[in-house]
Amino acid sequence: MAELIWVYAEVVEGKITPTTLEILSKAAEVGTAEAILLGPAPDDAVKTLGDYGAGKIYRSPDPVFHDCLTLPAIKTIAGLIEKHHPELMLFASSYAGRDLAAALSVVLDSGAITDVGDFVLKDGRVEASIPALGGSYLNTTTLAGSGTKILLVRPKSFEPKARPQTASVEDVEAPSDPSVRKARVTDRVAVEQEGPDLEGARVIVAGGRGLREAEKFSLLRQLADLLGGAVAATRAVVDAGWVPYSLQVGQTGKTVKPDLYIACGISGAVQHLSGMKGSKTIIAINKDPEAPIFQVADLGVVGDVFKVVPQLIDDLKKRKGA
Amino acid sequence: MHLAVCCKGIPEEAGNFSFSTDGNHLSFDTASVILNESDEYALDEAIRWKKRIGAKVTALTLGGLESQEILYLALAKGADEALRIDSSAGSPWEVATLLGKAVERKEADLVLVGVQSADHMASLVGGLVAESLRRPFIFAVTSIEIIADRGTVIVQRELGEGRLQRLEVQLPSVLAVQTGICPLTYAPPARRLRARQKALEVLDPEQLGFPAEILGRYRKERIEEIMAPMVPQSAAMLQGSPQEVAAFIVERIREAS
Repeated sequence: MAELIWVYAEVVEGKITPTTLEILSKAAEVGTAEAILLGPAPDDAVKTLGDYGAGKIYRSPDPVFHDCLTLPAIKTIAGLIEKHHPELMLFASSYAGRDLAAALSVVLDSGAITDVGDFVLKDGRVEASIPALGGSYLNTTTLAGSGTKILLVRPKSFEPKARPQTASVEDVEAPSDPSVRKARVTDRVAVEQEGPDLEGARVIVAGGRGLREAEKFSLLRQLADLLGGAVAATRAVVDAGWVPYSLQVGQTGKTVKPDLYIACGISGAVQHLSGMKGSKTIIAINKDPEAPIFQVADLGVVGDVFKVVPQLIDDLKKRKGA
Repeated sequence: MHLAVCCKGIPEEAGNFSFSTDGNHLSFDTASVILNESDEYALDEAIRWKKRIGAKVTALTLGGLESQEILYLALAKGADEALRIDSSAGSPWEVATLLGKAVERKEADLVLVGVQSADHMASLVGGLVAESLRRPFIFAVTSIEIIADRGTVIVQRELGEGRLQRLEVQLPSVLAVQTGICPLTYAPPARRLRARQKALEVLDPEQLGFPAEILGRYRKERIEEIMAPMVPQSAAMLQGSPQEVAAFIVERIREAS
């Protein structure tokens, strides 16, 4: 019989996240996939999860999951796992996924593997390949034992594949005791977004500390506009307040895989590399010939961003005009 | 109000790596360790609260003798006390179990950790410490306001992708602090020298109630294999004037997009 694999369905801004569907697709490919859906969710959530391979969905729409953070979810998921003993419990390597997986691994005394890029199940153990040091090395880590094994899967590790079926729904009860209400959301802050969506962009022009000041980011915007792309930044740049946090690419920001990634004045700290290494073509412009970004780039220019980028903008404008 | 900050020493330069003697975690061949970046923000944020409300700050680390440097830095920046757990434990579950015990022993109300360490980037220890103490945990915190008389903290945290959320969380609790939460302070050499005169507390896992055979049970995962470093794919390097370089790139852009 196929192994039972559970996927935690994450809802962000009223939508099931793309990573949820990627992981669910993989789960359905290698086992019997089921999903856990907690808190308010869009009307078509059950259908969507079914479309991507979930045969069954454990569901509670209780707002406590939305308002009191992870404590209610930990309690509910732990209870379900102890009852049904799935072989694997998969989470996206997102902020919410990490919180839940870490806590559950303690509650269930099960261990977990983070940053999973791929995995196989064999002989009652799971073997995962995970990038170490931001992907400079790959290691194989295993988790054995009879309990449910928890994996945190990196975004964009698997292709989402529709395999439509109708999922059955089992209602679960939300925990009501006050101990799960120790943390409570008081406010949500929307962050303004400019330009095209980073995750969907086919071309990304990204800037790092090498740009030296906030104003210089306008150069990258011009270049991105000409290429119909989006701008992105490193952690250092968003921390400096040059651009909003929504533009950060890297381990604590977004993971992107555009057709073309142009890195301007980015040295290539592992933090950043882990969010963009998967780009199809990477062009890097940096003053320092030793910068690690050149180890992942396809095309490298050791040079002054402030000379090369304006020239690029000129050339592209001429080409457009011609 | 007592704040404990978990500070990790990471290799200053990641040189060669090898399996640890027990084959269960990576160890890096490095001459010296530095304070992990996001932990430094956590430390500075704690010290800001020491100055604002007179909180006591204890810096905690886990590691060998070389990691004491981090504690001296913490004392120089303004921490009141420093504790090193003398252990080479590498699995996040082992590390978090020991840190949790130390926090309990110190009776800290609020525990701050950094969001991730630059060497492994697993972002697990904070959540594991919290769960081992059965305390609420908030990840990626970008602002902290301690409301001491209500026994709560109001925090703002990242949800990823630029979204933020404001929350109220009861003390005692554990927060994972994001970089950029406050400006980093500089500890002048004179103060760093003076910090070296201060006494550090050192405890081994047995003293925290975890002899090696018990602690080992907290480690579930096993690293089976490390692939030799993939030969860095070197970029084709372009030479020439900005004009020549730009012309070539435009050509490549046309092909790639």
